[in-house]
Amino acid sequence: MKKYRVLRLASLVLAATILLTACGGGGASSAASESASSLPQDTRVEPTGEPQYGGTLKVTINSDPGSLDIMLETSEDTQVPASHIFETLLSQDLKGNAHTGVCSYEQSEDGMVITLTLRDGLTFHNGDPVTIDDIHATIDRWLANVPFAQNAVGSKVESIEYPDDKTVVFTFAEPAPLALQALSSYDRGPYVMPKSILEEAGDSYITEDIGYIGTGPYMFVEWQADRHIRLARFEDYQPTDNDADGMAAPKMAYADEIMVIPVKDKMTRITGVQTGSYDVGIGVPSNMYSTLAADPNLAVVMTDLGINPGMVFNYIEGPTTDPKLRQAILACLDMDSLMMAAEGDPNFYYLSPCFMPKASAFYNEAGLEKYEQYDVEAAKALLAESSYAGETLVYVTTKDYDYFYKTALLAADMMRQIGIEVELTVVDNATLEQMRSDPTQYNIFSCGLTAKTDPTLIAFLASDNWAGGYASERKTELVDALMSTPGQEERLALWEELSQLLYEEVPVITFGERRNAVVTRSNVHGLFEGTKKYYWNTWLS
Amino acid sequence: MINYTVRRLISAIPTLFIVAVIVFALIHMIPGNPAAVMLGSDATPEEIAALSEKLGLNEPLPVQLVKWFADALRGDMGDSIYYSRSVTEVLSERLEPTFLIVGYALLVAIIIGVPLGVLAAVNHNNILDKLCMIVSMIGISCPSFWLGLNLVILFAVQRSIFPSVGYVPIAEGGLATTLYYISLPSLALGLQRSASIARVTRSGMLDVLGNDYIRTARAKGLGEFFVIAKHALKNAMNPIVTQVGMSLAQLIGGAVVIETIFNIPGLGQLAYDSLMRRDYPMIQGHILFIAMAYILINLVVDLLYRVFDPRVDYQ
Repeated sequence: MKKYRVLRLASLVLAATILLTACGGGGASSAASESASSLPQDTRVEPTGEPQYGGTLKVTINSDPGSLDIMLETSEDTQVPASHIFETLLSQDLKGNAHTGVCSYEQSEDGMVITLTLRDGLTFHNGDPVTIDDIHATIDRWLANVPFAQNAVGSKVESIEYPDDKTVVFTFAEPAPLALQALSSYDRGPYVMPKSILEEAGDSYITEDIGYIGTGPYMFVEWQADRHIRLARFEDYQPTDNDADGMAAPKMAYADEIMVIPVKDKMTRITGVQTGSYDVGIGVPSNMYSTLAADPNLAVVMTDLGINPGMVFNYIEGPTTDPKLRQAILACLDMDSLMMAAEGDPNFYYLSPCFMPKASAFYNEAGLEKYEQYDVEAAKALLAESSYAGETLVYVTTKDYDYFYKTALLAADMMRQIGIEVELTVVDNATLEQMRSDPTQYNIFSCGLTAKTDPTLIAFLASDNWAGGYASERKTELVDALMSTPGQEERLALWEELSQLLYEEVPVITFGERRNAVVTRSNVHGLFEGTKKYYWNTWLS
Repeated sequence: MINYTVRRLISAIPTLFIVAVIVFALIHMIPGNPAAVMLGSDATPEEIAALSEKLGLNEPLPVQLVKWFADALRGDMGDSIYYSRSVTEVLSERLEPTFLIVGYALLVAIIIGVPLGVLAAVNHNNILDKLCMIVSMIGISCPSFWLGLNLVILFAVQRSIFPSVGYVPIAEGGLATTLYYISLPSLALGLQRSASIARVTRSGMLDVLGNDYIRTARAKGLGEFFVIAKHALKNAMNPIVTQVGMSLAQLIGGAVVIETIFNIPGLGQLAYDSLMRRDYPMIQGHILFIAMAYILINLVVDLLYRVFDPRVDYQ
């Protein structure tokens, strides 16, 4: 009898515990979410003293890069370590303006002549002086291998002359408004390398055997595959005297060494920072924000990520070639819910109709009324006007990027609410990239458009052949005009017109702009600004 | 025994050939193009086509298979598409951590599993037996990644006893430092496998403990420890050795997840990354290597049968 009493009591306690845990769990999570939303966006405290030199800074990237040849590689995993080793001819601030880099520059009033002057006394990491021959070889390889270089400079240039051992003169046959941007571009820009290395590598990737020798604030020391890339301060580095922000600010190389460590798993990155194995971890999930922010050993820093989650329509064949159907889909989407599904916290995204990042000079709100309309009745009316006849739309997405999948899941439901049949096809990212190149295999696919410094670099505007196949006369006219109009005001106006057009033709829908939380040890200061990640001005106290 | 070993090694060649053909066919049937993965999401079809051509991906599949196998027979597994380096070189860089973790985990599994199984068998049907079996059932039910995450929380985040992530090669920090770094991942893998070894040990021991020769040994006045260790356990070893061999093979597979959680630069992580990047030569080389490891493990297990049971005849 006593035994049964004990059992009953135990069952009661267990049931009560489960009940309390269940109720408490929901409450706690909701409270955590509220507190996260109301928390200050950054928990970093910048010390008042002068930055300190010394120490080893351990930073993380997502994956081991295939190569450090930054002129040919576009992945961030290559760019983060390699941008410390190599430098572009010119540098670029947060708004995309060009400043002195390896060279200073002058531009003629009509913009048709750009003169670069090699800075005095610069040396490569192997001690050799940087010469005009190295600059010449760099420009040749860049123009031969980088499409943006060809479009922005190569196709418009009349001549490139090297009149003396310090000077390069670009004379353009037609206006080249993107030339300075290209010469200072972080993405596949003209990264200066020794002529001997460029000759040895040719059009192939530069390897460790050939040598990663640049002019940047850090020298390549070693690369242990999947373990770390070790960089050491280049003592003879000469910072610029630019009065600029972002990557154009003078580079100071405070840390003695930087270890760039590939860590694929987000939770592993964060645990590594918590336990002191790493100093910087990118990509804190919103549900961990409060916990990490409350830890006195850590600082959580909000940064712009410049990635627009969205959907791309098949513009070549199938039901989505009808603009009314695409407009109906745009009208049925609740962008705030979609971004909330993707990020889980309002601090982690901007609601933005623009395909350029909020921080960019090109940010505008053209099309805002259509972006934020979320009107199911209007969507149904547009659907009725369209040629849509109940076909099942194939919406391809992937769980490799969880925001792809989460937004696709919700967007598909929203589309079903207005009577569109949707079949969600979930594949891995490599398969998605294969499927989207074949217009017979999809009607819609998930995308994450990355931040560009100029609208003409956005993939679906840069080429009619990009996945989805968006092509229209008006688009071509406006993109061509943007490519050839020199004045910034005129270019902003053209972009605004093009932005409006994107909400009429609706080839792609952006749900908003993602932000990013970076967790650091609390002794890490001077973290990067903007969407590009660099650590030469970061220091340890 | 030498003849038997040589015969087994020769018979491994057709096995490896079949594995190679199947793997080649399977990975090329999976959608996805390594050129598209390498160029990123902004690439146009023209850029992807140009890189595919440069990488030799446009050649007919039979031509690619023949080329690859002819090279593989000469010991050349080709070049990794992603790393632009020899597959053998990339694989060999990742061998050390995986071998050490798997070895350490196996040791943990045996050290915990065998005594636990013996203890359960000796105390058959009493509370200790039930306790041991409950523990091993829990062990089997817990995935190693879950164990790994909990070990990290307990021993790295809450108590800074072990590092939560990373790996230091022996050449850099010495064996002690390396073992210190791989303790948590090895424990996570080993604890899970110890459960199955414990269960097999228990059942093998129960089969043996009822035999007449055990009773005779006890009647002769031999100590209980001597009876169990010398007479019972040795005769129960064959199923245990089979289980240990299977565990070793499973540990190599289990390393994929555990290496990701602990950020260990080993073969498992490389295999996963290569699959995601559609790095065909790397995947082929990796699977061929694992197949060879499986064949060798099976051979060693078969050879060990005779050590514990001289009646085994390899003819």
